[in-house]
Amino acid sequence: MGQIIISGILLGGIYAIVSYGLTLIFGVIRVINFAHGSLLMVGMFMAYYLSKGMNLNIYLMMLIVVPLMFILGVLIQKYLLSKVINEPDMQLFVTFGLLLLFENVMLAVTKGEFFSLDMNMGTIPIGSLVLDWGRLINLVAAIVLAILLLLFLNHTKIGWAIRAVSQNRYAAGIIGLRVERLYILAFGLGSACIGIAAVLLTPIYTIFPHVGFNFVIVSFAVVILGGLGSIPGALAGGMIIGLLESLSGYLIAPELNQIVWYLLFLLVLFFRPAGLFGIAGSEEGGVK
Amino acid sequence: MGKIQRNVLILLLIATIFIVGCSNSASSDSDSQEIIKIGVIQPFSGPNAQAGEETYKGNELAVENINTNGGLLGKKVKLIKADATNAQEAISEAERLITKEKVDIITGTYVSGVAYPATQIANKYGVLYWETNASAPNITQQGFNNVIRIGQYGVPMATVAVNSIKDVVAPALGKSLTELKVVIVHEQSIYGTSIGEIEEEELKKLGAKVKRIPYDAASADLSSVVNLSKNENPDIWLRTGYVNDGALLFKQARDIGWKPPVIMGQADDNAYLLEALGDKGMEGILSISYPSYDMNEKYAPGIKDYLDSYRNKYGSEPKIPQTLVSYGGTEILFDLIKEAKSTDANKIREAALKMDVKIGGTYPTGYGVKLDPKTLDNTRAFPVLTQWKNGEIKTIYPPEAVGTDAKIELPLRGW
Amino acid sequence: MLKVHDVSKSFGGLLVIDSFSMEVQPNQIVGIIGPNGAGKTTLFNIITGYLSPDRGTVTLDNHNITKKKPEKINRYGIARTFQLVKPFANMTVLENVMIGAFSHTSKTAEARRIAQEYVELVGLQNKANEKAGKLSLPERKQIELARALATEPKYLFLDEVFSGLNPTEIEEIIKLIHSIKELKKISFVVIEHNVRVISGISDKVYVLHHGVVIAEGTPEEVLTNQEVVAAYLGG
Ligand SMILES: Nc1ncnc2c1ncn2[C@@H]1O[C@H](COP(=O)(O)OP(=O)(O)O)[C@@H](O)[C@H]1O
Ligand SMILES: [Mg+2]
Repeated sequence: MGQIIISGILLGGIYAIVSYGLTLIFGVIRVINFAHGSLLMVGMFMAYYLSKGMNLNIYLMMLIVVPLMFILGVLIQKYLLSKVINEPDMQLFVTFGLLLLFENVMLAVTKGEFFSLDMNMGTIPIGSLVLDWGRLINLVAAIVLAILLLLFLNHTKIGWAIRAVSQNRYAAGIIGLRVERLYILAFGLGSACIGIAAVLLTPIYTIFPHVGFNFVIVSFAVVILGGLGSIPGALAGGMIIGLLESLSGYLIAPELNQIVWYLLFLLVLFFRPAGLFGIAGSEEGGVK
Repeated sequence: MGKIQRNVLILLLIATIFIVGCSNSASSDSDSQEIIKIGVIQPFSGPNAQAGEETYKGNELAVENINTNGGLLGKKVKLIKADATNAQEAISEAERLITKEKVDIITGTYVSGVAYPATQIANKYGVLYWETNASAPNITQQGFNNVIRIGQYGVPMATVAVNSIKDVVAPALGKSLTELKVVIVHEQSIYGTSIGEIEEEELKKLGAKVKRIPYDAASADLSSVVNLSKNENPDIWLRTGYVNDGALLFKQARDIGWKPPVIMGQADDNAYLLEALGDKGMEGILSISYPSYDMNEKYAPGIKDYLDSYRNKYGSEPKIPQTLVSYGGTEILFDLIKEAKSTDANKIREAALKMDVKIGGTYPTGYGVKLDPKTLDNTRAFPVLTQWKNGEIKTIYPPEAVGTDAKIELPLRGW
Repeated sequence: MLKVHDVSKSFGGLLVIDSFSMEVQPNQIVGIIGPNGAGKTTLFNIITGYLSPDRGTVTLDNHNITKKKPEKINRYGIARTFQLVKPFANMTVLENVMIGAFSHTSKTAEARRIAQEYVELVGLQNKANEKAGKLSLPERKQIELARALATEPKYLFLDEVFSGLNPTEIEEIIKLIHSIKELKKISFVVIEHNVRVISGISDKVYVLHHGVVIAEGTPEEVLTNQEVVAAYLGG
């Protein structure tokens, strides 16, 4: 049982780290980013190919992957999404188009093959329990990244501005916040966070063009559960879902491991759309 | 939305459509009574493009072989490629093959999801659908009398798993069948479930203790499967699933430091798992595999010739075993056309139902032939059991198939 | 001086603002009245950059600010509140106002000091550290007012700040507007449909009806105008 809880917490770290990018993008720009999973996939392929190509430790690849992903995010917002900023339907169309584009390009490149890093980093025994290094490093990184993001959001002027825009973009404009620029920054930052997640997950998972799909629904669930744009919410939401999945997989049945959190997700979506930790009624209206 | 934005979007869409759809469309030749036309439906584009192409090479080599030896019924055989990656494409390509290209027979298919709709079109026109590769149960459960599956599918795959446990695995562990404890884990779609259920039933009949655990292959975490399996302390961990879930399952077992005495999987003899776990991680893992290239020439007559002609024509070693399977399946088709003296679906079915070939000793796959009269599945399309040894695949069962001095080595020792 | 010249706007064929012009002098309070749907909010949205007019210009001290983005317009010295209040619900009152103050400082401490001043000015000092989303409607209107003021505008547009308030609260806000006007020397443009309130504070009144100005002038002039009495005050 202890092992199950450990697995749940480690899995929670994975779900949290894949959700930070989404909560920033979804929370600030309010666009349903269908391309979230495929951005993660692109980041994982970058990390994999760079690490293999340069024969360097995978974790060092953060120095390259994260800036590249930041730039990719900036380009997406600046040249695609900001052109349709007031047309939610078109935004969906754009992010869905990006999903198809990324996945199909990678399918063409990889011809549907699978890639893994053979990194047996070993395990840490604690009494009768075991932790594995890959997931432990990821968990620590998830917590550290949450703290860094919080410091940034709460103690810098840009951080304040991002938070304000995420809560009400209409009000933000006329008190001097440059909404479009902040959106570009938010998408860049969100993508950079996805890049961090991608590097951390590369030693853990097998990489293929649809690998992001396994994380898409769960990260939307984490973000809804934790409240749009909330980093501590994403960390807590990731932990809750990770533990629920692990426990229900063990106690009910592995094939039903996602049912419990999925029900919770639907309940929250319908009855507390601001999330478990958000303030009810914090959703914005239009310009009136 | 302005003009520029619209153009960008259109560009994006076109790019997408181009990449998704860049298919090698087959060109049509003049109709001639002097040739037998066989349509080959495979995914020649998209995620399975390479596998589709490799599978097609099996047809190509078999056709070359027959044409240089005088052809069939005095005619040359000609293949016509049709690219289908999904159900819609399968339907339109099957229609095209039959109505435009006027093929006599259709064969395929690397992807079961393509085979299923394509067989329905073939059935509509009464054209023979000769299935060499797809293994999904539903393809032959439609009550069609023109769809014959000559290649391996769930029942023989499960049967070989159970037979090999009885014949070589249990003896290697020094245990009797009634002492054996087996945990079956399988992905929960029809593929994994159909195999897992047969394995459970057959092993229980033999007196083994069995627990079966289905799981979701798209899961980001399989630690509950691993922990539930470990709790049972099984002698054998028997798995059916795909590549990515297999890698995750094995890695998570490694992460908690658990390796049971025997791990056996369906088609776990692939290079992707080797990359994920390394030589050491895969060492000793058993797999129910497609007929392997190291099989004995007596069990698989013609396998040497096949390998030579593949190397000559394509300048490399065969990349996947499915090429041999489609090659062997096409040879069986040619024998039946000769026997029936026709390409008519009914006449070929009659001939096929009469065919009785024992396993090993006839075809380069080692397959025998005996159709199930209800489903028209080949009940003797038997895979082999292989074992990972120093990063290589060695056939170890059935004994007649073994082409090297490889012997089964159990129990497994650590990751 | 803020000048709106010949502005028109229609939504899907429906003309909502028809050739509207107005002038706002420094340190002046201008009232805009008109029934629901008259186009008052639309006019504010055009002036503050949330909507583009189909025709016409908005100029501020000879700068053409037509079709500029809201953040740009704010930098020229215009701020507003919203008819449907839009505080940053997950932030405290003080933080809401600090965001406004950040428009002319990048130091958190400085922003906090400025924000405190305006929070006190609107009388919310006791609630400074409460989440904006938890406060009552009048309090949220005060937050919006303080937040707009913290950007230190020269022209402040208030969209129905009095609606939903009781007479004493209305009295207090009127007093507040007057004192801010004296203290900060800024102009107000106030939307309201209560005639008594608007004539109590405005130097000049525009009456809008179906997007057309049917009267303008001092409150006394407008309230005695026959057309206004007929069309708006119900005869
Ligand atoms: N974004 C919009 N799209 C379409 N119609 C609108 C929009 N905004 C306002 N309108 C319409 O314009 C008219 C004026 O609305 P508004 O300016 O809000 O009036 P007021 O503030 O005077 O009550 C109304 O008929 C309203 O329905
Ligand atoms: Mg209004």
